Amino acid sequence: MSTENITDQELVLRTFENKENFAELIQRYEIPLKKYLLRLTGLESHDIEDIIQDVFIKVYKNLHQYKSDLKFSSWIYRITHNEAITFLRRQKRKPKIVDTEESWHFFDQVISDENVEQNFESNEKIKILNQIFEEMNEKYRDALILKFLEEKSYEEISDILKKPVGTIGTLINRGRKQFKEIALKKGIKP
Amino acid sequence: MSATSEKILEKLDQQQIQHTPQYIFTWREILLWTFFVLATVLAVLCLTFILQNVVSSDLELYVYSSVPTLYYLYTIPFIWILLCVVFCCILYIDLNKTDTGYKFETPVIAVSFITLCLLSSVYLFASGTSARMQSELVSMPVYDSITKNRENSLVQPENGLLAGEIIEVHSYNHFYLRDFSGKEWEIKNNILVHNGDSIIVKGKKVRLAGKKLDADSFEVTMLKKYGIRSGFGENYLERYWYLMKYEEIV
Repeated sequence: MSTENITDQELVLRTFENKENFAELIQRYEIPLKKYLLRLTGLESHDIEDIIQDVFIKVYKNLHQYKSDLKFSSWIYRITHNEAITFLRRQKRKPKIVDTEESWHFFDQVISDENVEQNFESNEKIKILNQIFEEMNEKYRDALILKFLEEKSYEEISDILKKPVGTIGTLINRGRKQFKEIALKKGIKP
Repeated sequence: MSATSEKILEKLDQQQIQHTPQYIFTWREILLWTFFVLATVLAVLCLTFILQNVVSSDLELYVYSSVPTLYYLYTIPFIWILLCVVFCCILYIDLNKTDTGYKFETPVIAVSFITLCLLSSVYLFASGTSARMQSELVSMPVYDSITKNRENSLVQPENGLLAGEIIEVHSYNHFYLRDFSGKEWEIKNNILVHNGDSIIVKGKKVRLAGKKLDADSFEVTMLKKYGIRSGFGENYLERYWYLMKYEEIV
């Protein structure tokens, strides 16, 4: 039977009955979560694979904790986010932005209203982006990634980061401000 | 099925990983909310005791005496302030650990909490409940050592401070007192500022500010009851009674 039209919530309920249904949930979220992890951490693929496995095992173990008033995607993103942070802390590593098309757009989106001179190469853009992110406050960076790279709504970001919606708005605004300030310091003049 | 799903399902089978039962999460949530309520109640009590201590403080006596300014710090209820901050931190962390607590905006939590604390603590203080609770606490060994410090800080005749129990009353201006270290004093007063006639009674504990005259006598300029002030009620009644008397005289 096709499971394409089945909602995440239904799949969760079916997983309680049969473990095989969990494979469908994994398939649905494997790629988006790997992308998210790559954007959030810039880790090597084998590290991302390790984190993804830990995430899904944790999800399976704690499936009873999931409540249907929350979007399943927000819940699984929350677990992924926490696992990634724990992994980076354990390895004492700093997150790094990887050279992807989305990353270039990210740069443009965050400072779009400033009419920044965009006459530099994309690889240079990624280099600057990484330098900016290194100097940025972690909480602002996480909120900006979820907003501009994952294209999540404020409510979803609130559920993922476990912070009130108002705080998310503040984090994004302050994050953009900090991003622009650091970018200006790096010689990107409006 | 993707390679990742296969690997994960295999791992689940190999390690015999099962779902954590629902009741664990339910109990966790119940416990977190119980701690939240408990921490709130304790924070309210601490705030009440802070209010209690500020109102019953010895600051007024210190002003009338010649104790070093450093002693003014004794009037700050550090322990209750510290405990209040600790409980506030606990309840904030606890709230964020619950499933839905993070949805509340911090300013909303702060304003609600401060309002609740102030209303409750003023009510507990005004009704005299906090005074009764603090009297109960005095019987506890740890708290007793804190009050002993207060007793010691008030027995400094050289600096114009004295506290103890009235053992003999000759007149309003002349009575005897046994201080908290056990020494007996003859008390003479010239200017007396106090809050009630009934204060100079044998057996009552009092605190005085004034001047040491010689080895056994003390001149008092200010006299107050020793102990924990019980709400606003008692003093309001006293004032009311004085007003009636004054009107009768007039």
